[in-house]
Amino acid sequence: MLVKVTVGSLGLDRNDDTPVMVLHEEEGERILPIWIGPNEAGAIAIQLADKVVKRPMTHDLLVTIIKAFGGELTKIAIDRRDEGTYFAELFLGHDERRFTLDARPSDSVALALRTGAEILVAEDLLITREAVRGSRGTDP
Amino acid sequence: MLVSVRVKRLGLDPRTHTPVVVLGREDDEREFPIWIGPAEAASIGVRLAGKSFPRPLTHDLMVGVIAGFGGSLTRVAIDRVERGTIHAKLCLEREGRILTLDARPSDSIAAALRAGAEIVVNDEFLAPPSVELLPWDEEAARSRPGLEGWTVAEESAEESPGEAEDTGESPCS
Repeated sequence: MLVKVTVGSLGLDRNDDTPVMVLHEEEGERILPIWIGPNEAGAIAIQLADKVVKRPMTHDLLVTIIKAFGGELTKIAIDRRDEGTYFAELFLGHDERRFTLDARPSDSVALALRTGAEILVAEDLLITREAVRGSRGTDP
Repeated sequence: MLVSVRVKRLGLDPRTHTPVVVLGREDDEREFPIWIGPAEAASIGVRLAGKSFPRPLTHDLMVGVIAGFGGSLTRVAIDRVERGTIHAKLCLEREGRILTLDARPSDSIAAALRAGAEIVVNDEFLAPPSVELLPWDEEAARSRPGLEGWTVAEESAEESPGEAEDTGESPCS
């Protein structure tokens, strides 16, 4: 079952300076921390801070392309994990045509934040805050 | 005048430790170097090396989105400089209609390499090589800056090729 989440925080893992994005369950206490790359972290941080940049960044351009085709990103879902790598899907389309694309969670979240699309996570991926220390999973 | 170019190489400016993508033409010693950011360089570098990353990178998604909507990227045009910043356009086609989108040169080049699209530049931007570059090395360039060190790449040429006016004509046709 897919559960709605929000981006609760974006920070740096103190052990090795790797950025980590923490998704929070909207109607509950469980979370999903995902270790991501610095560039994707930057793209997410800029959106969270609501900053405007002078030239369209890669994710901004992606959103522009989607809109230019008259389509939308309706939702994203982080729906499975395989040996430490999380997998996500983008749900895209317009009235005549809907499709999904395999994507990394970081790109998916960076796009969802820009379009207001729902961010969903498979319930069995969520963990309690106490369990975090043992479960490092990546974007990659 | 717009001329067809290819990516000659990816280099690293030893003075600034910044990646540089160098465009040029066959049988023409002139080049057009563009200073870009590390993420964009990595994305271009993966393609130039003929490698693939195990998971889709952002530019792979871009090409996937275009194809998913039934369109194609036919050409990218790096055609204009404004206040030292180089501007590019993506030429997208779908069902006979052409869409022109404003973009950064690095994103345009990274997408073009994946889509097999033509890369064209304003001929005035090509000049005899003037900067010494090291070969771009992903390990050296990856400095793990963390969030504080992350910056937006402005995408400039070291010596501004000179303002080229936007004539208003689309470079896509």
